[in-house]
Amino acid sequence: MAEERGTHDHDHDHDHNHDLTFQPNIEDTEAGRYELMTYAIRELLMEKGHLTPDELRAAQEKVESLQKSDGAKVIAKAWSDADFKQRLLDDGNAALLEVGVDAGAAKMTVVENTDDVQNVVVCTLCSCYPRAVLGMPPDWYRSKSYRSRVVIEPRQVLSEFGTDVPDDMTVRVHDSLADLRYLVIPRRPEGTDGWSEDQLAAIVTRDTMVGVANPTA
Amino acid sequence: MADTDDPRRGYHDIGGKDYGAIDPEVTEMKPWERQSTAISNALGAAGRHLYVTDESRRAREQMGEPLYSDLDYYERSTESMKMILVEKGLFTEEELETRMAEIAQRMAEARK
Repeated sequence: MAEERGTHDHDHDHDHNHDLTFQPNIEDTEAGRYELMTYAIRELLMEKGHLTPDELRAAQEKVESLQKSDGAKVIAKAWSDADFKQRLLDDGNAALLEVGVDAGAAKMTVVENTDDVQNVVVCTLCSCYPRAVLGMPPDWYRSKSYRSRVVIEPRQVLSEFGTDVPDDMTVRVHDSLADLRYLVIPRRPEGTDGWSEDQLAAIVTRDTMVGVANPTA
Repeated sequence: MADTDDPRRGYHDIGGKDYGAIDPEVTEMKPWERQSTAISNALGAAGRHLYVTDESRRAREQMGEPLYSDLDYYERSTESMKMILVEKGLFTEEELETRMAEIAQRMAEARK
């Protein structure tokens, strides 16, 4: 399973200012070409008046605030409120706005796993991902291996994620675009009757909302 | 630029090919990767439109196969952003390279 294998090997307090410095005390290795390029672009844009520190800080805080837990709350609400679920399926962007999530300009298409259908999301051309609800895409989602293979052998790929799909279940693979993102509503597992939305949200992992895994109670 | 098996296919268009086993390890986003993403988002923010999604797509498809294959995800996005900003005349390649060398120097000093 690919869920939650962070390799955060240093402690820090998530002070937002740390990204505005070079933090040589933390990153002891020499900076790579693209790290240097990022800092150089930032400096040149600021010096030339194309970017202010406040704009950058706001954008940075926004990136850091994108959490897959937002997606999990949306799914828990959809499981608990059939009308909300229907609105999500009808118009993802509008329904997400109801719960305070601005999915941006790209169309958010929400698809539902049922007893007969397993939906899986990929972006073969790039790594387009519903960041507004799931945060930044995990490494494997961005990998050429996943991007190339899941569209041609989804059952095999799913089994590598520990998800076995019965032969009589349809697998639908959705290929995202810069202007079109997908979010999967997983099947609500049995044994969760009467659960609160918080309890439900706790079993909705990122992988279940991409469709490579299914939640269990 | 094109695929050797199918000249109509761009090098970025890899759906249906086989790039082997999927590594399930998930790593933390590095600070510079987050910053590169933030700069790109800030430039694309509503009202600014200095760097928008379609431009970033076009740059990825224009950078050439060797570079595309060589770079990882955040390196590609940084390269794409640089290509478009240089194209728009916000700074030159030369300015950028000079500044990168200066920053490398500063960082080396700071590590001492």
